[in-house]
Amino acid sequence: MASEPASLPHSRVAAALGPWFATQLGARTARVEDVRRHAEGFSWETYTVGVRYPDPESGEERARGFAIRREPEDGLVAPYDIVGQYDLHAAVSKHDGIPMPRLLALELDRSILGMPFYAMERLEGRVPVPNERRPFRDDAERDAVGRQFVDVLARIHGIDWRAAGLDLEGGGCAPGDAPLAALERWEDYYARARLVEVPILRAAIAWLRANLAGSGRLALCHGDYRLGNFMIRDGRIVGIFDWELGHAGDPAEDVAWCALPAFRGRSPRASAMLPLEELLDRYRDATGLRPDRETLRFWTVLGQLKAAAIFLRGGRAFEERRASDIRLAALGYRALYLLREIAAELDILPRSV
Amino acid sequence: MQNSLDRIFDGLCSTLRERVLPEVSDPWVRIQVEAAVGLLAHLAVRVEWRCADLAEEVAATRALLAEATARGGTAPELLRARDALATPAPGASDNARLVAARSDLLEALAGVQEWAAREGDPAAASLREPLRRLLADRLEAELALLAGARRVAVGDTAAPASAS
Repeated sequence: MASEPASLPHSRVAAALGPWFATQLGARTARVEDVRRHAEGFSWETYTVGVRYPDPESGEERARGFAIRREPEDGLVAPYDIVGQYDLHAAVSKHDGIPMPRLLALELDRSILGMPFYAMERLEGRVPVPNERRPFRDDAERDAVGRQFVDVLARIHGIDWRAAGLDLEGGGCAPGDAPLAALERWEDYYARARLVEVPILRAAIAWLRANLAGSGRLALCHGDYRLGNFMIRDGRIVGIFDWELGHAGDPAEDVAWCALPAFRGRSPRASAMLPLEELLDRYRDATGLRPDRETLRFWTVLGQLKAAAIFLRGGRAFEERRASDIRLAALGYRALYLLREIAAELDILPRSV
Repeated sequence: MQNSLDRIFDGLCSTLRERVLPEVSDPWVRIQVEAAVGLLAHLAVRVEWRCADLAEEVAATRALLAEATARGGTAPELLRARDALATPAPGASDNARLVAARSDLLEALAGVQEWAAREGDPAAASLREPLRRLLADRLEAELALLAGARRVAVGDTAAPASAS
């Protein structure tokens, strides 16, 4: 029986990271305090810590906050490529207009926290999430953040990832083949994620195969660009998170993904921010691309397949004792909401059900 | 929807015992958590997935596979469906065999779905509406259970958990 990975005790995190931060910060010593494991997300373990250390030059005590992303022993989108993710984060950070937390260092030595990890600056702000009754302070904040959300997405899609030296999944694919490549990737993922066949997802796969549609472009895609994966402060996005699904793909994939019903709570707006048409118009103004109806529908169904398959994988990891977070077992049931959306999209069930 | 009951109960008990309890200092709350672990352990050796639900799903899936194979044809997916149907349906209260049969039948159904989606075969095309109905019926049954579970989760237990 495989061991069940546990969350690290905070005392161990603090003890292990003190010498590490001292080395990274060029300080004689460093004290780690206020360790918090963040409950959001089901994949990477995220800790925030405060670090106190003597300034290497003046000797005065300094205090800084950092976030630690520790590779999970198992997770929803395993296997993980922490070097690739760190490189992606670093490359994106070099581009203006894409708010990213500043990186400190990548650590591959497992003797420190048991798994590889990297550290970045701790941002101050709030992460609005889909199931909040009011993710934004008011309509003005919602609209302003929504517009910036689209502008940032356009900038991400405009990154010349080849010139940045990134070796992205999907990067070898011809732009016109991106829809088929994505379908094959997620069909394969589903086959490995499920414990039993889910006929609605088989119907989705068959529909996607018969209705391949794309924008004909290939871009750096975030892969999980939506409400819940960015931080705001004073009405502005200050950090884009969770790049683990980053890849080269059709930019319409990110556009459709952020507009999925699963990410908007009770709001009719894409990611609870902008009406879809406004989002599409603004995205077109920034990129020259406005995905047509067929393309958007293809990527909507693919996104629902992807989300459902990720949920199912959580259940499987739990069943096989590769993970012990009981939220993962509950994800199998949460997938039913996605199946309902797929069924409505494919006219298996009326939309009102 | 997919995890085994054994694993769910084991996971719930171990999380409460090893992760939650060490963080609880209030004696009365600790006793409540310990009692919950005890109750879950008792349930773990006494409950199983509802046979009636499983039997209904198995029967509906078998009926669809029979409808597919009755159309004739030698596609590998149909031969696989015939193989699945060759195993007699489990008894309505044989829980373990119902769980296993459901899994086998859904594998066969996946193949039939692939066959039915192919263009150019009128027999395949004629199965699409029965397939749609099966998928709709099964999903509606699951969604009804989901609605019941949601009521239990929020403490609205005036209505039965199994009702839609």
